[in-house]
Amino acid sequence: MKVIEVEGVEAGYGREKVLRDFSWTVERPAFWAVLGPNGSGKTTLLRVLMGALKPWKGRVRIQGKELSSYGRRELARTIAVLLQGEFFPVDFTVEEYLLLGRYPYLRLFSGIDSRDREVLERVCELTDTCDLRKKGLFSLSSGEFQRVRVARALLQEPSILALDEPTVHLDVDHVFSLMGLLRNLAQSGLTVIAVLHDLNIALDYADMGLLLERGRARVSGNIREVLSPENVSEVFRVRAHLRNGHLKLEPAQGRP
Amino acid sequence: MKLRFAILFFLTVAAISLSLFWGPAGFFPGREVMSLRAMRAFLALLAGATLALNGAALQALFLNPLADPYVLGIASGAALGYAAGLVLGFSTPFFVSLFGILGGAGVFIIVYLLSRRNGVLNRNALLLAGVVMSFLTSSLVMILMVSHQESIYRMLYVLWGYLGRAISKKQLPAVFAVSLIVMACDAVLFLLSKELDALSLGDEEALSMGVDVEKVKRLLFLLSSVSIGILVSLVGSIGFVGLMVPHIARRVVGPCHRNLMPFSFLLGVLFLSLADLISRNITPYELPVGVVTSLFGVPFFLYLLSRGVYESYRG
Repeated sequence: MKVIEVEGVEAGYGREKVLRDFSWTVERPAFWAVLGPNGSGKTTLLRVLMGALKPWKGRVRIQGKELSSYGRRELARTIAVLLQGEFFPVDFTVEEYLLLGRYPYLRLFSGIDSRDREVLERVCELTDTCDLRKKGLFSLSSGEFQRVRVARALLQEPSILALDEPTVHLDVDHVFSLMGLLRNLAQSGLTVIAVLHDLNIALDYADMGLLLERGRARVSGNIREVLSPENVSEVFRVRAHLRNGHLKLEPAQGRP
Repeated sequence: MKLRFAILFFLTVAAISLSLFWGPAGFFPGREVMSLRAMRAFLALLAGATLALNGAALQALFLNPLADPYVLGIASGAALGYAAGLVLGFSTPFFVSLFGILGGAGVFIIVYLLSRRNGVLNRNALLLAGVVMSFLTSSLVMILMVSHQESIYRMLYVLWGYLGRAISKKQLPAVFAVSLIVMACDAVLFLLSKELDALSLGDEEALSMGVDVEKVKRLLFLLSSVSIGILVSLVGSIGFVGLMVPHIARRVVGPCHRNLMPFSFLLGVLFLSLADLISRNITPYELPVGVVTSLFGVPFFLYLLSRGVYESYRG
């Protein structure tokens, strides 16, 4: 069973078409990096996958099932999507916030039970958020903020985790620890889809890559092949060379 | 946390008892003082609880600390309906109430239709449509007041809120029936605590957690309209409770709705019971209770504001 199948999808906002004839297949769990210039449709793709944006055309299947036939909670148990957020609007404690991740498992009159607590313990351990549980959301640093959000998504026990630029605003050490966490999750069988800006971070951590250009999937597959200097220089309109396994980027004209 | 709830519970029970056994009960001769007081205490409980719960729910729905049961324009729509009922000569509370509900529902439908885009309720449009519609209905009420000066006194009390209205024995069943509807709406709000937690983090965050955001929004909108529409027709529009109580509650027990809703409920009842006690004991004539809630509530709230009542809400 394929994890995600997207076929000929067209989607956008109002009259503006962002994704056009977009097709992409995720065959098996892996760490996918979604890349592309601003406005190429990366975030729109995530919105379609989380059911926030109905595609105008085409079909989307997740775990072999049509996206449109998923119930809201069922979808949240299958795919957890973290769109970009810069701060929380309300000062819950970290634990209160994390337990909201159990929402798709709760029934009308049932509260948090021992099974939910078990998952909470396990996820906190995994994401190194145990010490933060009594803190307020407002007091978190950017690094803690992202780890807590990932922890909340993991509490949904999804088989797919999608994140929109999770490393934005993070210091380098936090970037490394977050990406390391995502890689570990992918190795344990979770499908991780991360929209990334830093091409070299993508090369270092992801196995697979999807390169978008003006709403279409230009190329997808092994990250090394997707981020070849030729592809990068054409899609991002820069000069790109590969040096020691990393991309060196320069403006198309002149020197930086 | 338990201690805070216990203290508030004790204070609330004390305030209700006090309002049962102390002070004048209203202008209506020929009825037992006790039963009149009981009716007032009941209405204070119903209105205080409903206004506070709806305030808390709407602040989460709009991600806006300014939201309260009045922003949707339903309260002013209900007031307009009520005033229109009086002018048209319906003097029994039941029919005038029916007009109030119709007015509230009418404005609800207009605001609802104005703020829908492609099947999605837009929060800002909702807020704007609500505010604009309350301006419109307020001016219409003003026209009714000026052109029908014989009813001006009763209309004033509708506009400012009044818990001591005369309810004859025959009207009691009707009043309790509509009160039951209001209580049912309040009960559903309690059940929505988890959804409100999720919504107060933003639509997309709530959606990714599996909350059916559009369905919950529509449900909240409907619950608010029905319960506030009925409430205004019973006790008039009492301002400030729905805005202030959730803020204070949030400061005491935090923003998590599992605690915030019951605390707001008790605090709303306490606040309105006290306001009613003051309104009928402090002056020889009776002040509309809405005047008291603002008069005593605003300075207290300003004090809290200066101490950062706002801090758990970035809106």
